[in-house]
This record gives sequence, C-alpha cells and structure tokens, in this order.
Amino acid sequence: METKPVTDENKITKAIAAIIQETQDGRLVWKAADPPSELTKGTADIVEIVYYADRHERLLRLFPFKTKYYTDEDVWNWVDDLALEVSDESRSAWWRFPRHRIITDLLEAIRFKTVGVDKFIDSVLSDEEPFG
Amino acid sequence: MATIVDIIAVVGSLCSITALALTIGIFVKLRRINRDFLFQARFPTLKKNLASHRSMLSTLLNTFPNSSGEIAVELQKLVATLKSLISKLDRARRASTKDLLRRTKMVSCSSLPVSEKQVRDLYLGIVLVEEELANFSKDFKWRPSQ
Repeated sequence: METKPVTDENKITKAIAAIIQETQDGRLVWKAADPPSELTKGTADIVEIVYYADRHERLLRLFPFKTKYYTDEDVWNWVDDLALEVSDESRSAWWRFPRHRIITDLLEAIRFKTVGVDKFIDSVLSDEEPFG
Repeated sequence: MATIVDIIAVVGSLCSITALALTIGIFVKLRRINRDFLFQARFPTLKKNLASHRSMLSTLLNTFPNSSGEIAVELQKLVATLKSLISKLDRARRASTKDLLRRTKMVSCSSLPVSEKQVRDLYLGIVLVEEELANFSKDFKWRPSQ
C-alpha cells in the first residue's frame, strides 16, 4: 500500500484545525513572549511577539512577522506573514508548518484567548448600570 | 437508378445532419466558454467570500454557543456563496463544493440548534474546498483552449 507523505496538505489542514479547536476550547494555553534571539538576529525579518503553547512533549510557537518582498534588486516592500512552528522533543530544533490560510484564524483565536476578550466583555457588562 | 434529384436529396440530408451536429457542437462550446468566462470573472470575489465565511465562523467559534444566532446567519450566506460557485464550475469539479452545500443546508435548515461539531466540520469543509479551488484555478491558467 502506498504511504502518503507526512506533509500531506489535507493532513496539515486537519492538524491546524485541531490546534485551533484545542485553543478555542481552552485545552491548549498560549502565552505571549518577546521573540528569542534566533528570530531577530542575523535576519532582516521583524518579529515583535511570539506565542508559545505546550503540547505534550513539544512546544508550539506562532509569530507574526514582517519580511522584505523584493520586486527588483534593490526595491522591496514590507509584507506581513505568519509562521507556525513545532519543536522537537528536546525543544531545540523547530519545524515550520507550510504557509496555510487558516493560520490567520489560529492567530485570531490565540489573541482572543491571550487578551482575555471574553473576560473583558464580562467585566464591562457586570460594571454596567442596569437599565430601569 | 438514382436520378439527379435523389442524389441532391441525399446530399441535402447529409448537409442538414452535419449542420445539426455542428450547431450542437457550437452550442456546447459556447456554454463552456460562457461558464469559463464567468468562472474567471467571478472566482476572485467568490474565493474572497468563501475565505470571509471561514474566518467569520472561526471567530464566532471563540464565543460558541453564545454566537449560535450569528453562526446561523453566516451559514445562510455560505449557502448563497456555494450555490453561486457551483454554477460556475465544471461538472467534474463540483463534487466537493456540492457536498459542502448539501451539508451546510442540512445544518442551516435543521430545526435543532447548531452544534459546535457541525460548525467545525463545515469550517474544515470550507478550507478543503478553498484548497481544491485554488488548485483548480492554477490548472485553469494552463488549460489548453478546447
């Protein structure tokens, strides 16, 4: 029987969708941190924040970054991009997921949880004067 | 022995049959050109709409079940986008979009409240259709004119 490669597009999609679900359910907890030096030194990319989550023995990290997109030898524009990476078990090496449209949805879910939007809305509603 | 009139009649009949075949061929080709043109013209907008439904469902899932009313509205919009998309796709390329439309309608028209699992399944369905359409769109540029 033919074995499909691990990076099968549908498999990746389902894995990222599962990460989104775990994040939204609160089973996967993300924490925001400053970017490590490996992401800021020796590169022209700009990384301002990195979100980390512990999943079993591995670490997941997601970070938005700005990168230079060259349209000519010395003409470039800043382009926004997103990277989702998973570490090995020793947490020293990282593998980057292929660029995927739903990583944006994952970032949105992470921000919703880390910023604590639902708690904020609850607190606003509880502080509000009751009508009538 | 066949007279000249009989020969002309046979030739005339053959010409009619050929003309009919050509007309049918041209009709089929025109339909295809029309659908291809519509696909080329409308695909970017429909693709954007599909991405917007997917992103909106994901956002609404952050606050599920409080957002189930908004999800129901979003699913109705999704049905409209999928219907529009199907009419612009080749028969051979419609299968997964049609299946997603059927499942979306089933959830949207049900009298039972929508469950989180149903929304997640539809979310994944949209992503898979988006991927298939993106590949189709790439192939489309390289398709020889028929």
